[in-house]
Amino acid sequence: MRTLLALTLLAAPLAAQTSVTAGHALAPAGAVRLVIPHGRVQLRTWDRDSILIRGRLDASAGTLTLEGSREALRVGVARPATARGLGQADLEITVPREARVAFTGLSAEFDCEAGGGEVTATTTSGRLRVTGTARVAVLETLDGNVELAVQGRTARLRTATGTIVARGLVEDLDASSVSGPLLIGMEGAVRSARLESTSAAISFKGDLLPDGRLVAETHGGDVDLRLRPGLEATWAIANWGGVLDNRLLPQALVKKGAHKGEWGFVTGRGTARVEVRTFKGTVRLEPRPQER
Amino acid sequence: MTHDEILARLDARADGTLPAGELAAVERHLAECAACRREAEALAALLADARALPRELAPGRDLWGGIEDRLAPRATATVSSIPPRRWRPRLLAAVIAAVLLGGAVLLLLRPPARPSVAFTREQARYLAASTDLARALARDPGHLAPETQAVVGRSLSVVDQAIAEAEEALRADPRNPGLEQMLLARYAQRLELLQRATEAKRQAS
Repeated sequence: MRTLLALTLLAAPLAAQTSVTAGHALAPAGAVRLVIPHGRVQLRTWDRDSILIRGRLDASAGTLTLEGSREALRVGVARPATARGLGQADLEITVPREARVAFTGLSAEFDCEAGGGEVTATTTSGRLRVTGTARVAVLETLDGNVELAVQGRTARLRTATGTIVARGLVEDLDASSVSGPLLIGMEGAVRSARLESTSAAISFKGDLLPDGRLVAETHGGDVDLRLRPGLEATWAIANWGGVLDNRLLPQALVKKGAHKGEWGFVTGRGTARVEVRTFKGTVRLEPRPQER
Repeated sequence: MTHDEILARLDARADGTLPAGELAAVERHLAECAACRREAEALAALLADARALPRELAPGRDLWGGIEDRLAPRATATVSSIPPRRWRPRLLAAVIAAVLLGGAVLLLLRPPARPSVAFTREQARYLAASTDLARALARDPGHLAPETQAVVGRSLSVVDQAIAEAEEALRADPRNPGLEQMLLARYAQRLELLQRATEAKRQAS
């Protein structure tokens, strides 16, 4: 049963916009589903067991709705069928620190300062940005940019044409684009990083855990890896049309592989694994800036 | 050999790369073990299905559906007589439909020469899923905004170009595992792109 709960609307028409303020009880690790097609959403966290929504809606955006319970809540902007224009919303939403948030938009921008919970955001063209601490972050867009700057366990980042930027430290990072570049700078050692693009460049700066794995693969772009010189890893590099520019490892260690354009070798005990594949680009191996 | 050891060698048996001594042991086991024999037969059937994939994919009526009707020029109309704001979405629909179909045809027309069994198995899976998704998406592209259609179309073109280049390379170097991995990654990316486009259409409608 769908229930409309505890919604307070303070209608104060300013030009063609309506101010909204709404609140509802929400469990500390409650699930919140946000459906805001257009506009901008800023998500923040706090140490209270409730959700607070404040902001403005265009006249054509429709009305703000809250449905559900303390454990699972849906917040949406319901646009009337007769409305003209995209109907922008500009909302600041505050949720419990450990809440599990799922955002869905079309052109809406999503800016989240996570407090330790889980964040999933999907848009068609809107920019996605998550900072802070997120146990899990899943950010997917077709045409927007994706920016992640978190301490977290797992992150999955997707865009077709946008740029992916990831900073902070994520244990298990999976990032993929079609034609947008991947710029990854990890502040420590990761367990797994899988970076993929069809036509764009991939840049990774960071380190791997002793049993960590880094896979960087692009068909048409360059791969630039800035790693710790003493990394003990098994390396598999394939670069069928380009060049291996090695400034990280002693040349004597870098041995050719079984096929043309391939290199396979081991440094130290070889416990970590580094796989690089590019069809046309250049592979560059360099020491991290602080270790030059 | 144990059942697991036999099963682990079935791909190599189908590939024709199993050493003679091991092949004899596998054949002896298959003659006596119905369960492993079924696995070997299922693998052979899969490979036969993959080889039987159509060399050409003609778009059926259901695929074009309303798209073709909307694209078909009226007998009395010329392109220049169609108001631009109505014509452009039609052009975009045509572009995306062509790219979707083109990609599927590209995949089906250009199977790499004699790849490994594992690769063939994965390729067949992606081909089937990709074609299904392309059909579902092309059936009613009207719900995707024109700019989103354009993004999807451009992105599919980029992926399909990469697939064509990787397949060309794999034909020249058929048993290169790195090239197989690259190609499978592109198939997976194409599939994921179609899934996201389908999801975007669902969200927009």
